[in-house]
Amino acid sequence: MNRTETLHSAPQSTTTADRLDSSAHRSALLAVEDLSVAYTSRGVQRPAVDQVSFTLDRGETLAVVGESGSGKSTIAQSLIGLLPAGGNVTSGTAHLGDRSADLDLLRLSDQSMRPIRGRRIGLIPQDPSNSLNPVRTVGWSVAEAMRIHRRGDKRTRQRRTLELLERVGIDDPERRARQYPHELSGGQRQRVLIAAAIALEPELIIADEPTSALDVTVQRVILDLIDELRTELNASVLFVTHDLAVAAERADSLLVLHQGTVKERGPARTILTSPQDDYTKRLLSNAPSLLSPPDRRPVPQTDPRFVAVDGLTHRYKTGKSSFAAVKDVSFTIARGSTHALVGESGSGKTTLGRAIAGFHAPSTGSVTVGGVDVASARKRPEFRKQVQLVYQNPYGSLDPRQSVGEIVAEPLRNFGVKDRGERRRRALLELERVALPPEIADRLPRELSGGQRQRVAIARALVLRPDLLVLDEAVSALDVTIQAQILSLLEKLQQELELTYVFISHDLAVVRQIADTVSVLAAGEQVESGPTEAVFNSPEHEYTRALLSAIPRPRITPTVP
Amino acid sequence: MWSYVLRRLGQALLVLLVAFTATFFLLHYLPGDAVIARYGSPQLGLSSAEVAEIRASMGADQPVWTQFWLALTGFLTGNLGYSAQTGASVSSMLTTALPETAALTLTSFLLAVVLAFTIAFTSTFGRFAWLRRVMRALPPLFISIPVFWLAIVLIQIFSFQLGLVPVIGASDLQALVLPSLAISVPIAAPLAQILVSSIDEVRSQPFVSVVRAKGASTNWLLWRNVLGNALLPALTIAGLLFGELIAGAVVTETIFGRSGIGRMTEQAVANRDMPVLQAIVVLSAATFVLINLIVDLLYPVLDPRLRKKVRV
Amino acid sequence: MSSIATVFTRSRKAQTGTSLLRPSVLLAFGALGVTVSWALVPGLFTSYDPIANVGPSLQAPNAEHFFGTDSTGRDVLSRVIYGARETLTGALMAVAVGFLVGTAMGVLSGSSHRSVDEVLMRIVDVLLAIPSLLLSLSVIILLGYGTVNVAIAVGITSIAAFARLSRSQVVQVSRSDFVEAAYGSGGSFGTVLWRHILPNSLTPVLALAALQFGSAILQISTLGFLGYGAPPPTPEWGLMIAESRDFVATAWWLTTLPGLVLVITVLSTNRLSYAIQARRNA
Repeated sequence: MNRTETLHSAPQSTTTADRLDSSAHRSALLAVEDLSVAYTSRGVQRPAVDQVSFTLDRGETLAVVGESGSGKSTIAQSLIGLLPAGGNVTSGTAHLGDRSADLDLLRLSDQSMRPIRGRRIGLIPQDPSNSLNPVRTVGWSVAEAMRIHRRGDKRTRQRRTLELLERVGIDDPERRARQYPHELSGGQRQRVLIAAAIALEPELIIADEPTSALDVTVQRVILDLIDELRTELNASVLFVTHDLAVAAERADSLLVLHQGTVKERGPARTILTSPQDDYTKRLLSNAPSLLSPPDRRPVPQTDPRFVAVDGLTHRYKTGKSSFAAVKDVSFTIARGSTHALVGESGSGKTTLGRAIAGFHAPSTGSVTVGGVDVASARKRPEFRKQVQLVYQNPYGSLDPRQSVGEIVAEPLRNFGVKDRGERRRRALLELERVALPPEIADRLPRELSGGQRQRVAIARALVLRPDLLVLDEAVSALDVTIQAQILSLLEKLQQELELTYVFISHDLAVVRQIADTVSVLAAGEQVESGPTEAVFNSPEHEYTRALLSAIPRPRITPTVP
Repeated sequence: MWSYVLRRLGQALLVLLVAFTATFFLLHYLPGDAVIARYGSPQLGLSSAEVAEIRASMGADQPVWTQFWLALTGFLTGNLGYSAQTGASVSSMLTTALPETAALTLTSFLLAVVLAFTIAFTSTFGRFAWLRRVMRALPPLFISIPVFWLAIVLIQIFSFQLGLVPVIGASDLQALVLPSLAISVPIAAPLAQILVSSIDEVRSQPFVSVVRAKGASTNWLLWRNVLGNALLPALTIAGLLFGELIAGAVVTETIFGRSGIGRMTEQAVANRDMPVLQAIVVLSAATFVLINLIVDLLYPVLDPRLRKKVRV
Repeated sequence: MSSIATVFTRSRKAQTGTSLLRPSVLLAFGALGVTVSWALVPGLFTSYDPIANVGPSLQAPNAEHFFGTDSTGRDVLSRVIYGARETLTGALMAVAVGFLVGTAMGVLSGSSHRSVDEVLMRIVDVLLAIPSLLLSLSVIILLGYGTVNVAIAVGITSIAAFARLSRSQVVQVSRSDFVEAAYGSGGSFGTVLWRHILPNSLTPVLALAALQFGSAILQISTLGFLGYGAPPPTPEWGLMIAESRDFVATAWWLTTLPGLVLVITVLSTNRLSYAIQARRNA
């Protein structure tokens, strides 16, 4: 209503121009110009977003793509006026709706922003696990926006809530509406959050990494749902993601962001087929799912049964009941090769990997490494010289109070290398092997980047010269460009030191790049096992096929330089 | 659910039994017992035979275990023994003193809760940055003030300088004001502190930005989303504050000359009146355990996430 | 007091904005520095004898006697200055008792078998269940009046808080990846405990010790006020205030000024405790 009024009051010439424009293209819903945001902490101003401009048309999906620290989420937050403390928009405009309405989101006070939030802009947040009020029912959270904006009476709100829950694919909406968030799975929670975001049919949906915390198969369904709703509501979607492949699959146009500045902007097709900027090229060449499978060297056959897992079952006891996290799994790994354990959360892959690394004894079945039974050897210190584990989280696996040099040298200390100078010399050697400069030895873990920390963790694992490394989601927490570096480091180390890897991952695209053989796990069972190419090209089990089809594939094949 | 309640109840009873046993034996093996302290002094002119008779009448010559058993069964049936000082029944002494102390501690607690919520809300959602900062400085200040000193300063100001509360001949209500104010200030401090930090923590959770993105106002956010989540830790601390209330009662009843349980405690210590002190110690431990049992059972009511755990 | 004190060590969020309050840390250091020097060399700060009659009684604060004189003509300031030693050594002893016994219990409990853990934690439950003032009064009855006994009694009331905090720290740190990684690189239980678990557990416990120091000052002065501490005419802060109660109407300085010194001292130790905590979170 408001919009038509302003249209009438606008000068005649502009309206004609607008009409002409909209007949030729879709009309712009959001026009952002020269947006700059800075964070101030301890009196120091640090720019996070620098002069970003873009337009988002009605009914269009624009993906803002970037790695951590690129400022992609900051853009989303500044548009909805919810920058974290210390964040300030330093310049720019963001017009929502018709140009003539002159509604600049960046200039509105919190008070005048409130009627827009939830009603004209809906937010789908990143992590469904803690984005719902834990002490309120699901139905309450979905209806909340309607209550805030005083839409309808109690009965209509209730009806609408059930409609919404049904629309986003929640089974048995009446029962679910009375449940609490913790009673729902991650995917269901994200559906609820989507229902809450679209309750008032906003024109603009901001989806901030909506699926990065979800399993791949769930990820696909959620993205499909957002696509459908966009069409249904004729809304526009601003889609923030770190995953170039997902962006390429879902978006009409892309905005590639690096350290707060726009590296490239344009239709998804153009950017994928002929990227202009070096950073975009690097992102494209590092995104595992956009790559064709590598030419693999043949698996070495010196010792085909170097690791043998035989009928392994692992039960966790909780009180009187017990729960089998791994059920009767068997496979072998040849010395010098990489075997991947693939599965979604709860598949038992980590439990299995930890049993191989000797961190717990299996309930039944056995693991042998180099002919030695792990269950009986795992308590002996010598076993640790043979098998090492690298953790997912490089922040938690390094003692925050020790220097990098001490961390890497500690295993030597445990194994009786008494001479401090000798330990340091060998630690530096190991740091060099993982391509870290020697001066890092005197730093503390918190002074290092995520990638550097993971290199330190690898160096610590290698210092005892083990034969087998169990890598538990060791690259999952890292940005793609860093991920690619660590993966190639792992390949180099494997050849230099004749290492065998057990590579635990949820990411099939990464697995395809690095693994020689693979076991696919679902709910503790091994549904498929064999050479990677065979499993990927002709999956036999339905679950494997579902996993594979969930890997995002762009509508156009990118040309990787 | 019921097995959880039973287990918590069992734990509570065990704690009480241990507390009772420990105090019994500690006080029993004191050098010089209460009877001798009371009747042994030469001025009373009692012969050693008479003292021994008094000892026998109080059961002090029985073997330890018999005494322990008598004391324990006595406690369970409400017979808390007799004061070594006056010979009066401890149960009736407590019954007389209890209303006075109950009124004082309850008023103080309510006052502390009001004070704590006021501080917590103004220091998190307050309109002005300077006001928030000042409010945030209050809990650390409040926890640093000794009750006895505050009580005296309050008397100085309100009774002598301003003449608002009469020192002598005050009505029951007037007589409550200053002591409960003195007790409530240091008690409000941890309560306010935990509220402030849990409100801060809740506010930094992602669901709060989601609620704000729905267009919620600050008030909506505070009352309908943040508060329900921030209450649990405060409830835990509130349960622990009972001990502070007792300490406050001992001090203020002494200063203001109120005849409650606090005063009784002070006199029991001064006279080394073991039966009285033991009864007070065990009964306050029982009250503490009961309060915290109720708090534990309240958690699942306030937080749906805990309901499931309790059921398992 | 002791179990509740942990509230102040755990409030992390509230302390992140402390950079603005940096001057307050310096101020706290300054105030505490003054009290500590009073305790060490009281003679440097006052020429009056704390227990001798040095002038007319009940003089209001003036240029000669900054804090005035009391009912027997003693200089109040010099009594406050000499009293610092009484109070600070008592608090130090109390914290030492609580810290050593409590932390030993907590570390043992957190790193041993479940049965040991259960027994120790039930003992802690009992200690927690008895209101701290009643607990310290019971101990005082047992040991008798006097400065040292009061300090021990106050120390015992803080054992539970130290035990709980150090146990939860040890349990939490033991679960972290880096501890498992240390076992995984061949470390024995002893070396991992010594090298990783203890150093990473102790900072909050030290912050609690600082906080407990302030709390111990309060408790000791309360017991002194009730008359269980050092006997008169020892210049002890709580006792001084108790002795002046009868002059509340006529001589405000006798209670107000020593009390203010007490509050400032406790406030300063609390402020330093937050600073320790904030440094850890930085």
